[in-house]
Amino acid sequence: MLDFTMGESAAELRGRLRRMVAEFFPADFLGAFTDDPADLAMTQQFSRKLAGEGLLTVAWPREFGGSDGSVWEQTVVREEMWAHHEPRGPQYMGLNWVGPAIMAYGTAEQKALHLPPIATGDAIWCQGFSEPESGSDLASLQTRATRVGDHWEITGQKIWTSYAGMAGWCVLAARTGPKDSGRRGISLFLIPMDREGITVRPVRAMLGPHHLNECFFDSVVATDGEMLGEVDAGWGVMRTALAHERVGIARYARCERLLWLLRDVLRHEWTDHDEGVRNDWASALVQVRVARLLAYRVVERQEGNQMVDLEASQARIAATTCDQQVAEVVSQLLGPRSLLGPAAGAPSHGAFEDHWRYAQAATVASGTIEIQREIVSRELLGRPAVG
Amino acid sequence: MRIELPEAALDFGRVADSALRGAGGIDLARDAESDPRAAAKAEECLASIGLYDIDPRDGLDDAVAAAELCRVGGSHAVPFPLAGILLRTSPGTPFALVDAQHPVIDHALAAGTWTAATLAGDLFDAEPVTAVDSKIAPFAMTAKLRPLAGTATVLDRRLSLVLGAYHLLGIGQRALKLAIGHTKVRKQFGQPLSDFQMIRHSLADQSVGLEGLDLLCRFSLWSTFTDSSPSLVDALSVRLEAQRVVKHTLRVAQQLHGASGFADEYDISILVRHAQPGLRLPTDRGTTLALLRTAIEEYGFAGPFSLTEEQGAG
Repeated sequence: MLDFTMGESAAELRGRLRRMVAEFFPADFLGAFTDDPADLAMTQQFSRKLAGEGLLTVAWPREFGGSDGSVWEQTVVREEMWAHHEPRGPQYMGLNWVGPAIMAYGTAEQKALHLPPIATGDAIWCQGFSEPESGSDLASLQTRATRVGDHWEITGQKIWTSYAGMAGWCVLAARTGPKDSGRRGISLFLIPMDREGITVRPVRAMLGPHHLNECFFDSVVATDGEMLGEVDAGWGVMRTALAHERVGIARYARCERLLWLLRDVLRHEWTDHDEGVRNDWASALVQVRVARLLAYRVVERQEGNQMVDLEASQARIAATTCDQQVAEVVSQLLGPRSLLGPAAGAPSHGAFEDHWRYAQAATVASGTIEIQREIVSRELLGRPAVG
Repeated sequence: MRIELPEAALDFGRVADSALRGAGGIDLARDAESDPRAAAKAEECLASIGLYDIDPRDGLDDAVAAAELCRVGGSHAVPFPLAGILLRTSPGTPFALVDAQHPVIDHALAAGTWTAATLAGDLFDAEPVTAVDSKIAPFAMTAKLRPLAGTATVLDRRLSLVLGAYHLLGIGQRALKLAIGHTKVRKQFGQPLSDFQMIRHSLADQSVGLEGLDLLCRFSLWSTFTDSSPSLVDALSVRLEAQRVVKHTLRVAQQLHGASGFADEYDISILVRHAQPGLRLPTDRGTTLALLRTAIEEYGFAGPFSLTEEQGAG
């Protein structure tokens, strides 16, 4: 029968994570990607602390350094981390999908090399997918991996690569098939970012420093042992990975936390605000709950090993539009105070201003909302995939 | 956590759908506008699959069956007050939520006397008086209210709102199916309408809204029996979302049908018209939202982050 409780162990885990975050981070922590390198260092230390307590890879199997936790415990971790400005810093990509993809498609050697450092919080991964001419049309990517003797040489350019400047490793998508082979000619490589021929250039952006980068690959050598999955079969791995990614960030959790934080910040003046704007706040809470339930449905289906393409895209559309709705409601209620940065005395140390900036990218990052709508409508109409 | 409906409830929904299709489906609603026998046929069909054996007040098992019946009934715009009969206060006396200032009851002729209540819980006997005589509420009547002692239970008011949301969900799901079917076969500029990206994306957005509403309906039904507070907050939230989503889906589906969308030989026209009482009674969307906001300010809105972190909300 229907049951919307997560169980005692999940509730205990939630409380434990909150205590750990509160004890470890100062109240003004807004994530790893700031001008202060201490913020990144703190997230690395915190990730190792989580790993030490078996909480970094809570739902991973024990054989790969995890705790065999339930998908609901994993969901609690995602919610608590994102709600508190992702105190794992750039780790979540490795935890959410790089590690699971290596478990599913990697060789024994790749598992032995890569999974332990992810499980202990020692490896930072980036994802080399998007290119200047291949954004939503990812299957048209042209970074080329050419067979030279017993190895591959990779040449091309990636862009919008989060964490590239701080990452030790990259999951790099490159074309190994003919130029027009679309999704059938893409392979994935697991490449160390300090390999000769790789250049990273930061892209200044409203998300803050260190977030977005361009990466240039100039005849970068890769071995067969560094290929994840089969030759030309990278698209299937990416598709699985992106389905995880679409619900890997619990955006609704930060939205809910901020809506209630705002209520607390404005408690002495709440009833002075126009009823219409307070109604918008209530309406946003409903949308947050809807986004959360859509994400939970994906988790439940993943637990049952069911296909989740449609549901993951529906969840992502709801979560990302909810992010922007909450950003607007918060701005309306704060008025001119919504413009203040942390140094100017912003409410909650700038958490609301930070959220507004991140929310603008929500409907683009990890697959635009238009692509999500294509995936959903393809399922609704029974249309074949393009590309 | 268990989000999927039990297989027994899904089976019951399939049986109900099959029975209503067999009885005429949306044609029953179409016919009922001129022939009262269509409503009787709808009741006979629903009775044959166990309508009168379900007591949604009895607990979540029966409530889920009642909800599934309301959803399926909505998808056929069944010309019968399903939720009202499921929540009857005595044999032959259905239950409805009303606006006490302007009491209007849909499908009012199903009984000579109704038990009516406001969202605040004021109780009345309600006697249907005059048909409202409009194309957008063909079975609705004004009602004369006589105050009763006591207060309508929180359970009855929650169930009435949630079952009403299920009814609207069914209407919305059917409207989306009709829109998908129409845009796949209707060609303009030499191609099916569904080849136009803007139309595909609009359909995708409607599906997101309806899937979210479906899950919120399940949550709110569950919460009807698990929330020990006297608040209607979850029931109001699902009514608000049903009003938002279904109103929009109907509008989009009708628009995508072009002029056919206004022609009663097309099912979408019947759905759009017959959905209006459910969308507007007992409260329009603005009133629902104001009531919800007041309830949230008083009682909160359950979620992992709804309490202060010092309280360690789980």
